[in-house]
Amino acid sequence: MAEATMLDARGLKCPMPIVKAKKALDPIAPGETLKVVATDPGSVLDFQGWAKTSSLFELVKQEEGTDDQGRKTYTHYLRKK
Amino acid sequence: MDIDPNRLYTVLKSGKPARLLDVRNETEFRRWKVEGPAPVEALNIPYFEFVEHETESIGRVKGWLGDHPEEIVVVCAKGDSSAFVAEMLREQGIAARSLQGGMVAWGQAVAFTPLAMPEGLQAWQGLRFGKGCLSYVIADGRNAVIVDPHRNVDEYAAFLNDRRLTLAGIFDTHLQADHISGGPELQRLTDAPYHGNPDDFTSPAFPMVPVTDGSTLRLGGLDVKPMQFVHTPGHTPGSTSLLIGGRLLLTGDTLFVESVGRPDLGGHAAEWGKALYHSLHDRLGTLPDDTRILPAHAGGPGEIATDGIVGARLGDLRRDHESMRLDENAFIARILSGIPGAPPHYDTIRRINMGLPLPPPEEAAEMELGRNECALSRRS
Repeated sequence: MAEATMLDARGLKCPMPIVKAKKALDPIAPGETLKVVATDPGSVLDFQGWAKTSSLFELVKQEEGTDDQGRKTYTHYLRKK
Repeated sequence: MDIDPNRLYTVLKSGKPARLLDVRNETEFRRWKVEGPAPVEALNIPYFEFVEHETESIGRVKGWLGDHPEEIVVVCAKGDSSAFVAEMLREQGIAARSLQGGMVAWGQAVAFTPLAMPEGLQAWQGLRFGKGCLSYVIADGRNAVIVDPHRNVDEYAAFLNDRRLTLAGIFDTHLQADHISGGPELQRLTDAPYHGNPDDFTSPAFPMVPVTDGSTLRLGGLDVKPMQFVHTPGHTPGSTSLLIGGRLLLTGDTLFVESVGRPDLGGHAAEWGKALYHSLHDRLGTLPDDTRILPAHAGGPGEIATDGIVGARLGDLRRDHESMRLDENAFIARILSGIPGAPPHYDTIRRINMGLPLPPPEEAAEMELGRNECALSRRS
């Protein structure tokens, strides 16, 4: 599997993680994955909701973690349709 | 092109038709939304739909507006996504404004309504309309006492400042479990005496003046009719009402206009339920029918009286209130048959209200999300 393209959405408030994710999906080939790293806890439900009606991607998984600055992160894996 | 929460509440209260476009995800929309005294027409299209399906989403809004192109208010969690969508709509000729600060700000704002008072006293009921919590400011022209303040103390500071009133005391009717009290912070900021019942405030991490049944709360300077504490246990062991001028009774979470405070949160529903029954019938039994009951929570728009106050005449409640009409056994049976789930985070909130350090504002807001869950719900 090819390495996922990464989008750093840390520190961004909504709607920006989703606005940027949509743009970042553009150049990606179908079947490839976009990894979005966000710090907004609201992004978890928002990516789930968006995935329900999106014709652009499928939400593969979501992960919680901590970045090197100690911030809580929410990582979303989007596979382009 | 924003509208602030108090302004939106005034619009909703005026009864003018209002349309709200809520752009949060469906889960959040279902959990808690903007409500007003009159029904609000709301449409939920999440902002991410406008990001991916802009034309189609705008088409849905236009279809919803139909022949009524009045102004709409766009709502999200914090006010950024709603501003983004409102701008998109304005570009399409739709008059759209964004709710400033979103639901977080909506949940914090307070609208103050004056109460008719005995001579020499002034009072206001503060409705935190997004949550349905009520607090009170009682003043004698110079000094003021705040009862059941919530955590956004700036609201009270601005209110007192505008009226040149000095904070002379704080009183919490009970240890709150569904929202964070502003008491500890007001005490810290102003050094005003903070009154509470030690049966609830068992180990406060701040200086507290213990209240006892029958003792009085005096308002600094002027010689006004004293306010008297009436111990009304049930919702919590220390729940204490405040009788003002023999005419107004601030009941906290003991008695609401259409329900009573849940006696099950301590895990002793039958025992506390019995105490609540005796508070309602024995402790309040000696008060005249004309006493005005002023609770700490509003249940719904139907509880607002014609003067804009959430409250009721005790005599009317004795006659019409479902829980007041039951005998002791039926009352307790009813409580045991319908115990709802505990409010989320209620244990943490209780510990914060006892003096644990406050969490960051964002976490505090998340903890308090939604409407109050301390009322025993009415039978539907």
